[in-house]
Amino acid sequence: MPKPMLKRSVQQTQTNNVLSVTGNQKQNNQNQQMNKMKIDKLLRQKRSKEYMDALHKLDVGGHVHNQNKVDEITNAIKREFPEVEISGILLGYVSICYLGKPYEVHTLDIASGIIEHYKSGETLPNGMEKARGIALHGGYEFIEVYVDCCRAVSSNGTVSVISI
Amino acid sequence: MSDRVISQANLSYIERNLSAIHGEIQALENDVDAVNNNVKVVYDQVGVLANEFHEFVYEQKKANRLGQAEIKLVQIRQELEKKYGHYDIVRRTTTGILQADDLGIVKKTTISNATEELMISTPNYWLAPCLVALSAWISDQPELAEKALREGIKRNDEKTSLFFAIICMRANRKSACLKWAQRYLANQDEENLDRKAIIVIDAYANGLMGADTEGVISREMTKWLEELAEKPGFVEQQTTQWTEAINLKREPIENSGYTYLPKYSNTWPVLEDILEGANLHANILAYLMDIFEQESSSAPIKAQLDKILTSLVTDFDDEELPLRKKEKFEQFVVEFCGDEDRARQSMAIEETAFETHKDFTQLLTDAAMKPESSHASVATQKFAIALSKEWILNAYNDVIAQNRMKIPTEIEINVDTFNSKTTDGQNEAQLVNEFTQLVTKEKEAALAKNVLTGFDKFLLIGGAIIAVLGVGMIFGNPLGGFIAVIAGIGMVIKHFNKKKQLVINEENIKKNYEQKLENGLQIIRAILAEVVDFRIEFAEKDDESAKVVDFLEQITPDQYVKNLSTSNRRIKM
Repeated sequence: MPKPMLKRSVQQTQTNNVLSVTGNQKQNNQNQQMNKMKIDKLLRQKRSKEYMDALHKLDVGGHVHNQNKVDEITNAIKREFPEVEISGILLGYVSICYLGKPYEVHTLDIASGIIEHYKSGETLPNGMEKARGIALHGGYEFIEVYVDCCRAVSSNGTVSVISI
Repeated sequence: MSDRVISQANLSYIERNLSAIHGEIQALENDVDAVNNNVKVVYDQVGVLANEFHEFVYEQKKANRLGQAEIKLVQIRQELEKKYGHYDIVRRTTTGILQADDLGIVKKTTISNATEELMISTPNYWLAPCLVALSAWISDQPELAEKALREGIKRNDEKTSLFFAIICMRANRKSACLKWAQRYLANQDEENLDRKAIIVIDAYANGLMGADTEGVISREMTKWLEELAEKPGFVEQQTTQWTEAINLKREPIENSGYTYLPKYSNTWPVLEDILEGANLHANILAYLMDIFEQESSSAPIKAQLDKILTSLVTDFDDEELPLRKKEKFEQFVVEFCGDEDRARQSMAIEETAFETHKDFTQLLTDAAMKPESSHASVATQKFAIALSKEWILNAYNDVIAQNRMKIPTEIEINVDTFNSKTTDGQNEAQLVNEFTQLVTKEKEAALAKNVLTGFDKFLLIGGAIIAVLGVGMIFGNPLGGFIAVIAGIGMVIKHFNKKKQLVINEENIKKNYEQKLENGLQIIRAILAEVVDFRIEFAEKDDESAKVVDFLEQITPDQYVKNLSTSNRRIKM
């Protein structure tokens, strides 16, 4: 009979221990969940005019790579989401390309900081292909592609969330 | 040998005996069957008897329970009378004062004297000071009214506030009514609103409390919403809640009007789905416009408020609850002649009748989108939509985007063996060319198969050789030679028949493939035309979403709290 009691007390010590791996993991998961909710709330907010203007420049100046322009845009993105470390969750932007045929869409890859224009039939890299259809037909200004969802941004800055 | 004879003789004897035994067994079996049948009859009769006995026992138990219930009822009522009888006097006096005042046939001094006595005889009961306050108010004694009110609030803030909110509403004192209602709502938990609170909100939305010019109630609701919004995940939860409610208005397409796309495109299920999603916009717009164009009637809410007032001044108080529950249960037992199960069922229904609890946002969603089940008035629907505008817009924008996300860039065309794609139905030349090439290729392949086999070719030469050999054989072996000649000629004829058949087959193949080309091109052109129509129809229907968004953006909550300028009831002073 004393045996189970002994075991039980050991288990209790483990769960109550501050250094307990399982306990910390649980807490970490809760924190992550909480952070995600906060981030979702922040990212639901209407986008500012400055941000919209910056992203609008994606299509200006042809499809030639221009580092200054990219820097300008990435700075505008950082200013838009000061509370969030956006680079970890935002993969990039996809929007319709007005350069004309054969170009269809263009992307801004957040990790590499490169603006690319894609012809029809060319697959978009880094998980951005999923936003191609809505970028082409959705009538949105641009699509923000995240790890777990897409956020379609209208010309007035309104955000629509598309879970994947 | 002798053994064998004896054996035969014994067998017939044994056989006879066996058949005799068989006969006897048969008879025995019949007897057993008869006994069996009799036993069955006895069993049935015993069963009937047992049922009757059980029924008797059950009826007896019920009768005993009924007797017990009647005795218990008397005991419980005596206990109630002893413990809370004085509460009942207060309740009856309140009802009487309200009725008397409505009619204006009782002197103010009589009312005042009656209430003051009750105050002394019912310590701790919230309704007593409220009654004093009411009579002081009627007798124009503000100081006494205030003192009594303070005591009422001290004893039960929530009930006192609700009581005076409804009294003020009846008296058409709208400003005071708003303040009392605000006090009542402030006592509520926004995550757990009961039915009374829901009716009060309904009354507010219907303008029964007058125009909330100072924003007394709307501030309380804004506070609720702010507190709820502080909770992590609230916005997303709201969006999900509204998305589900909005999607309830989706209706399946019964007749899309498209003939070829459903038959010849594997993409059709997606197209049908997004078209259904785009149709939702018109449905939602019609739904919202219908709500906002309707004139609402506040008569049912007034009746409900009267019910609340009646329940406040006639129903038992929390401390009486255990005894009252017992009383109600025994009452049901008496009503159902001692049947405890039925009494329990009725008790469960009775208990849940007024125990509907909802969180404030769920209340708004249900009122706006499920008026049938939530019994919300049109005014409350308008108010709920206006108050939830931001979440509806969020959810609605998500619904639009989710549907647009599914728009296929390319639409498949699957006609028989032909599989290709179109984006906007403009690549007719390319598809015609692809299809023609495919049909030509298939035709050539079919024609290539339409040739004589090695055996068919052999029939001509082989037949000729056999026939010639047969002619040579006629003189030596006339019968063999003749057969060989016939066989040879037959083979040659078969060869030519095969050849003739090939020509016919060739013609058929060419004809069939020409038909396939013609029909196929017709279908492809029809599909392309339908793709063009589909893209236009989808774009038009999808554009309706902008109208819904505009409609929602123009709504403000204040605008939709109905303002009633007059009331048909007032307490005469």
